[in-house]
Amino acid sequence: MKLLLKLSLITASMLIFTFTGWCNDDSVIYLALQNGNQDTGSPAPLVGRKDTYLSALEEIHGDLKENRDVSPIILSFDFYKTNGSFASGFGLEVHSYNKSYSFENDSSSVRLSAVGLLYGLNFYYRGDFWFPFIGFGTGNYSVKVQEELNLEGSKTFGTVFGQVDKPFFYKLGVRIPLNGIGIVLTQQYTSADIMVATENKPLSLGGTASFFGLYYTF
Amino acid sequence: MTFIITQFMSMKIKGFSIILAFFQFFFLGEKLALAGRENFGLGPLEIRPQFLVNQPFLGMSPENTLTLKNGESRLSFGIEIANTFVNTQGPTEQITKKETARGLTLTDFLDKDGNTVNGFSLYLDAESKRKKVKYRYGLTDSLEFKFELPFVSFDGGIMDSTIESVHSMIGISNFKKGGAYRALSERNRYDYYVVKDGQFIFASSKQIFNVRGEPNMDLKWNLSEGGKVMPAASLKLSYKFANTDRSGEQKLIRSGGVDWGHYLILSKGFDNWIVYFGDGQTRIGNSHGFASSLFHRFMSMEYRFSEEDSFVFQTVSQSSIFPTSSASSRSSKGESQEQRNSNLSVPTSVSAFGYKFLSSSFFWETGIVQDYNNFGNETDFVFFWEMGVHW
Repeated sequence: MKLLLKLSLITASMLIFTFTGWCNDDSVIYLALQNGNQDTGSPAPLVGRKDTYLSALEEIHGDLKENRDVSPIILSFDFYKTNGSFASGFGLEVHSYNKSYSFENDSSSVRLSAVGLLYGLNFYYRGDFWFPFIGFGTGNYSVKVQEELNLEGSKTFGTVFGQVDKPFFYKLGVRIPLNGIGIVLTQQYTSADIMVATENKPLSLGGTASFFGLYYTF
Repeated sequence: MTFIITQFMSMKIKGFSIILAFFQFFFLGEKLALAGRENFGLGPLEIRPQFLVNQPFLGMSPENTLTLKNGESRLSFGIEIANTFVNTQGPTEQITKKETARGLTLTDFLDKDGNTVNGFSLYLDAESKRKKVKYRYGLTDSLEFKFELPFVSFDGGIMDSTIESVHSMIGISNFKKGGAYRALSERNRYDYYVVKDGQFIFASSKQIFNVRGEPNMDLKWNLSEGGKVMPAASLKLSYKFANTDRSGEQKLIRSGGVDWGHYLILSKGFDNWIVYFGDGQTRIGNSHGFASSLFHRFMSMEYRFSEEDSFVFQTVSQSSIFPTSSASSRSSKGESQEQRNSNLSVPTSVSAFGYKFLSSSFFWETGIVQDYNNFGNETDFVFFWEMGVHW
């Protein structure tokens, strides 16, 4: 009963404070939480390239047991200035994911944890029921790669920290407003390759991604 | 079980509603009328890198695209207080309170098997206080001159216990990497040791106070005010003078060489929001075995509460002062010290929050900086403050 009361109060406050529509010249702020699937093995068209770090390990330790998909959690903050049917603005996104890889031929493993802070420009078209957008930008990705490899019966260990300080991403998507809160769908392409010092070969932290989430309008 | 789930959901919803309420009221500010200057705000937080090893070299700070108008002047005084703690010997507990009390030697920087470590090893436990006097002058409506003279102190400081308490409060152990192995060392003690390939570059436990650093001057040229679509753009050039007197502890503050740097800065306004982006490079004249050039980039988001005051969030990335070493990145005996230390040469990032105020005659700026990568090549926490007059 108490929970229902709180839910009702929050819903009511969201409706009271809600964004009431686009006017000719106004600014809007979005806070969004998204999740989805990111194929780090699929290079971003035009700007990405195939990485070779994991394929070099595959030649020694056998094929990867896992695919290259990761599931990042994304918290984003965007603001826009609207002008008639169009809007331009700026967004900040924090991406975070972990992934473990193992190999077919032995017990070697590679663990990866990455955090990206991405920012860039976004452009909107104001539809009646949906707001399609495109965007692009840069930022940085921090990563920790931990190797535990079997080489001819003996184990070797490696830990590599790194930062991609000039990634590039572009994205397109749509926001579907539902009176204050709404749904956001994003297709994102990111080029962010880190050089892993143990093999001196690049590992992609970006790739091709599809995200789904909820947003709140201020 | 149902009770637990209900309570948990209730707590989550409460927390979420508090966050939403905070953002809701935070952004209820009046829209500003900034006709004709829509791409200019009060500017990013003007804080340079504070890492101890970077202190003798030119440190480029983010800056506004806007310049002072012809004949305008601004005189300011500021202080940047930075707490730095790095113990590369922490994982093997080779440097603890006992070793620092007797004074560190090169043998403390060997690996756990007694071998010389290739690359850099560090034991830095210090609080730096960089005081600065700045004078700016508008040479024309779009060209600004700046002169800055720093006075630097390195001591044990007072912030260690607070930082350790904050770590404990948020679940970070001061005995582990996340807490930088702070618990192994005495609080508020001063030690500055940098070792490269088994040889000391710096070795000091003698505190220094208000040593005059090398001055630098800047020229900033506002190339364009931008418009509805295009951003404003400015180019900043910086020059650090050389003071070859590096006797005693002064070598920790002065490089004795001439350094050059530049930043290309863009800014774009979206009503109450101004976004800044800068990209640049610093060329170090006399690097003393450290990196001979540094690449840096910043992004700032300024929210204008009014014409006179703003809140700023900022992130700055910079390449490391430690060049890539010949350290081996793989080991057959578990994670080695050389592997761990390789993260010292990785580029890193910090985030900053601050507040700016500017009236017709008074200027004030304050904020904090936090290193969120913990690679050991940036300072942990910085508090800064600057105020001045404008005429």
